Amino acid sequence: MYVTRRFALQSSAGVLFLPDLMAREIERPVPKRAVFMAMGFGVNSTWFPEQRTDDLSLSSSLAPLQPFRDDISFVQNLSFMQRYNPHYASTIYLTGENIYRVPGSVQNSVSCDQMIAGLLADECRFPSLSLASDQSKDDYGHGAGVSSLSVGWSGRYVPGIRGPFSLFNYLFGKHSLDPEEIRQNLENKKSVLDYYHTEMKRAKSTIAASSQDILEEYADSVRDLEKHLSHAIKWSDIPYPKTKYPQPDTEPAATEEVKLTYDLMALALKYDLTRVITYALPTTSILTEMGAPISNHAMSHAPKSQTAHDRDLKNSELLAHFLKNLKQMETPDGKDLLYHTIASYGAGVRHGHGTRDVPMIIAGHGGGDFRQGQNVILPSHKTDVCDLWYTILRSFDASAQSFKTGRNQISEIVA
Amino acid sequence: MRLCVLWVLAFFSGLELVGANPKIPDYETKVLPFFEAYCIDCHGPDKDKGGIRFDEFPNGEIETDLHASDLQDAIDAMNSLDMPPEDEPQPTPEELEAVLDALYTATKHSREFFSHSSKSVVRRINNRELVNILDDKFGIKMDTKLLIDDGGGEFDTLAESLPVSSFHLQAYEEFALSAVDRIFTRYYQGPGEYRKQQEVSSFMTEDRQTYYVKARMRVPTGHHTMRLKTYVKNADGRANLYVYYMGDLSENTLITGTEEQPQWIEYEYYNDGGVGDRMAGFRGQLVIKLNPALSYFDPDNFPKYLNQRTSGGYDNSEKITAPYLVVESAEMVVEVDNSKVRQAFGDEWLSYQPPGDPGKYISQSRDKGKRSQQTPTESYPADEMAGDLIGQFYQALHSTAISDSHRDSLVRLFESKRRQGKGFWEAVYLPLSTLLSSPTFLYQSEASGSEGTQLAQRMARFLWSSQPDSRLMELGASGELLEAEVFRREFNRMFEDDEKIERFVRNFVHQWFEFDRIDTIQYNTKLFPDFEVYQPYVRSMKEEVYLYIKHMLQANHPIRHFVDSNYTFADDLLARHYSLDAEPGGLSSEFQKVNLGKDGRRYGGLLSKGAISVSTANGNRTSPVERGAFVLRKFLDDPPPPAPPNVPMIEDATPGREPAREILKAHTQLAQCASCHRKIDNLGFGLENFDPIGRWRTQERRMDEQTGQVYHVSQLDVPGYYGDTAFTNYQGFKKMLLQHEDRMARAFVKAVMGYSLGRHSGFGDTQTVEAIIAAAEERGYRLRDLVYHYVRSDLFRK
Repeated sequence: MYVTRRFALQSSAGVLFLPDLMAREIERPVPKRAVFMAMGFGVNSTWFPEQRTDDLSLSSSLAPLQPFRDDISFVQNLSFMQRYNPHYASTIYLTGENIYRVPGSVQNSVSCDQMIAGLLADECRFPSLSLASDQSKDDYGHGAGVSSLSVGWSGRYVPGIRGPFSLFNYLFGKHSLDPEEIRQNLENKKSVLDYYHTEMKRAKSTIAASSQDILEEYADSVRDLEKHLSHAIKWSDIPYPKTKYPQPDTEPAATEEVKLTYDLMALALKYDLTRVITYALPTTSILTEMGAPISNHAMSHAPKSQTAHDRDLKNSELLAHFLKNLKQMETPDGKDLLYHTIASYGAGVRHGHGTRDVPMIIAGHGGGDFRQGQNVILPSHKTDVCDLWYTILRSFDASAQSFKTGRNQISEIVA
Repeated sequence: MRLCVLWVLAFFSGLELVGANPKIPDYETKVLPFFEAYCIDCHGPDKDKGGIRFDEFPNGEIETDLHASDLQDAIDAMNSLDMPPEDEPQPTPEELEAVLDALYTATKHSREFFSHSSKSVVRRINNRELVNILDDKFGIKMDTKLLIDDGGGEFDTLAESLPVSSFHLQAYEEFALSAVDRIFTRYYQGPGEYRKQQEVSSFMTEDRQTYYVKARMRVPTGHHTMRLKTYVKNADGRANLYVYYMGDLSENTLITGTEEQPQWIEYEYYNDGGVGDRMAGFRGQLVIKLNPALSYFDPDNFPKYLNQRTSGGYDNSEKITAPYLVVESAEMVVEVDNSKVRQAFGDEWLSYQPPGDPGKYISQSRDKGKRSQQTPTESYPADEMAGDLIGQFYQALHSTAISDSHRDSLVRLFESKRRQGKGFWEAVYLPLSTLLSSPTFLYQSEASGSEGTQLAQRMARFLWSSQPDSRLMELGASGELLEAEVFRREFNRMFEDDEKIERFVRNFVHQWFEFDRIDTIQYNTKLFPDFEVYQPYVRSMKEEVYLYIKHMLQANHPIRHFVDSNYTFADDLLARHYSLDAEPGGLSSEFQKVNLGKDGRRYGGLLSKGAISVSTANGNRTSPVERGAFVLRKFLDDPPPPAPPNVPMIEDATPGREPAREILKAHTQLAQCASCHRKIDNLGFGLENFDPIGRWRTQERRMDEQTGQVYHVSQLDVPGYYGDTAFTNYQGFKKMLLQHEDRMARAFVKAVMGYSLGRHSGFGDTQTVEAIIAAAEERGYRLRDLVYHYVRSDLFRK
């Protein structure tokens, strides 16, 4: 057999890398992972199962999730209690913030995933991944300026990694730099940061006193860069994992883009490159691919239409693909990755302008913390979504007392 | 004129606008009785449920922002049917509608009032400005793809749309490194023109829509021109086509060449190198799409293969007698204009070794022979060289000298790279690129700004989206710009620079009118078969609006031309689309000013423009709602509140043959909807004569979604009203709008202010806005006058 250099590299990497990974995993309990996914324009009206706890029959647009019935649950009656523009459905999806609390301004605050990422910051190469669509210039329903579902501690959206091509490079390293080069790069970054500090002082003397807060934003960014840098220094000796997964195309078609992104998300979790992921799903591109006759927004106001149904069917096929991926990845404790993950899949609007009783599926057992296979009907249709985020946060931080306005765990889903 | 302005200012300062709290309209007559009947029992002095009380508005005054937010909560609760509670007495729909209407107005005023500020804010430069500065100063055209998108707000100039995060800084660093490399590659290149002939093969796709012309070529990064030698065979007829090239779409082009006299057509392109470096030098593919609407031959009779020379293909062009398009050859032209970059750095660096291989993509360079490979010497050590280069770079960027301490701290970056054993250029790229992500550059905050300099910079940023040119900068630095006459002359000069003023027109208009909506529309091609290939229409329609408003500014036309005029701008595509009576000889693919006859006058003004009709429809049906809201926002300075959450959902029933008004009736049946929609929808009907693709219609055509059958709707609903003025047709609608020239002027001025101040215009700006309106009134609110009075105001000059 003719062995190409590429093949040799891949297989040796496989041999070298996997035992290392296994060794790391066997030493200590398998870690928990959290995934948050959101759709832009809500769902069709048949999406929700009956409001009966004993009934988890999936509607036809969710049929592909049938094999995972024991691994998923519906949580019904969750509502966003803070005001936001429903055209920008993901504005506060993971933050639950009252963004209009200061008149004349819009101020968001840290999202649930970033709080979890803060707890796990030292564990992985990437404290978290925030993913968005390659089609982010579309009217994709998450909101103008909503560059991902994640909002950092500064209250600003984390710019999402767009599309599988960039994500692949991000996860597996674009270049094969030698360690000396990496060291030098980090050193240069350090001198650049020193320069920024000097320059901020200079700018302070020239910018009007009333506008100094804009420099604070810049200073925050520099401090953030410093944090990234020290994190990168810690990880500079550890090589990127090698993967046999092929480099994705730069401009995949719509459903292909989602599928590839899901694949790479599963790989990132498998290789423990990160334990926290958010993904703002595309919608417009999927509709265009389907040849839908109406726009997203119009469809959101027509939740009974066949196209809305078909769009959700396509979405649940893709979600099923992701869940299957996780389920097939075995962990050293004899379980699988889905078991060790808590994933949520929902939207900031039900459909139209409704921010009450939004769609929400949770999947995975979060390492045994969550009970699945249920159709949970919460008693009040005004149950705060922050309660769900709090419940997930609690799974990672037993000492957490609340998440924003969420102070009650959703006991139905806690194992 | 001067006296008039002063008088107005005095008048307004007497009014005590600042200080008076916003009031709830109709408080005593409608709102208070409503509160007393349905709210105060629980939300008053006795119970105070949820911490909200409705007895704290003396005479309807809203005293604090917390009170305003209580009112907002009340609106939300009533919209979502939470309040009053089910088991309590319920208001009548009329009562509810009136109160919601009053509370909407009150909360809107409160938002403006409590956020009031009358300063402009410091913001970072946006991506467009960054790219323009590099173009103006060094002649390189960068693409913003490497940067993180600005946005989120109404304008990309609003501080709120321009966050800075660590991700932004990283993106700036990467972008700047590539810009600096581009700058010095350009410095050592050319000048000159380089041509490369391309062999082409072409064929028609199965669907008979696309005519592929494949050219195998390496596309250089940067700016280049693609030239096609082409003609229509077997006919003297004309072909209209547009070209996809590297994913970009060209304008519509008319081919009139014949076999004897082929025609050269040119397309300008910019290749930013694609995603990362992977795409650099990627093989270009040319895709030509015929425009069926304007092709003078039947695509079905089109030959499938034309002089295709790739393996497996065959050349059957001899057998074809029907007319078809031939692309004989293609040529790639790269023009290197390095005048700007040479001006910035002089000729002295030419004798030094250039970075990398500057002739990366170009085989010849006139300067090549002259270059020596000089390297730093003892008499001119490397760090001194680096310091000089940094100084020149800074001077070019800021039109002022760098301070010694600043230069020294940048030289230290150079030295740290040198210590790692890097070459001169690689080392000096670090400080140069870092300069572009420094706060001094991003916030345009260098210290030496005198009043005149600052004015020059502010003007350039506002009207040119860039830095001042040297003349404006000099006039600013010398203080002459502060003299009224000089200022007026320079102001007018800025509008005459066609290329630069277009930046203002395009960016402002595109964002103000929200044209990005157009790009997400999916057209029902059964109803509108012409829009199977919609791109050329959409492109021309946007162009039409830009040209129209640019003309209004340059010719200083009165604001009533927003609604009515006897001219428009059109190319042959639009002329045909609108069925305009074009002048004898017809129009070409070039836009030109068209004088409209009596019948054509409906296409005068802005509201008739295709781009506006299209963006306020959904490709299938028009939306009187979108249209009404558009007119309220952009023309009447009377914006409706943003889409409220949790209003009762109106199921979007599949429409049958009923008129549009019938479909929208549901909006006025529920009080929660009626409080806004009565006003919006009734205004929107006035534009019903324009179909979803911008053509005049007197009947509506719809398609049955199940059967695909196309039918006519019984009647077209144009009658409507605004305020007390009713109208029955488009003519009357225009007449009604023309009664509100001052509102139109106000809406325009506020938008321009939002675009230039870095924040939305608010309550604190009222005096300035009114003074501008008053000053421009006498001459009929001429568009450039409005801008002029604004840039003369303290608000702009601070």
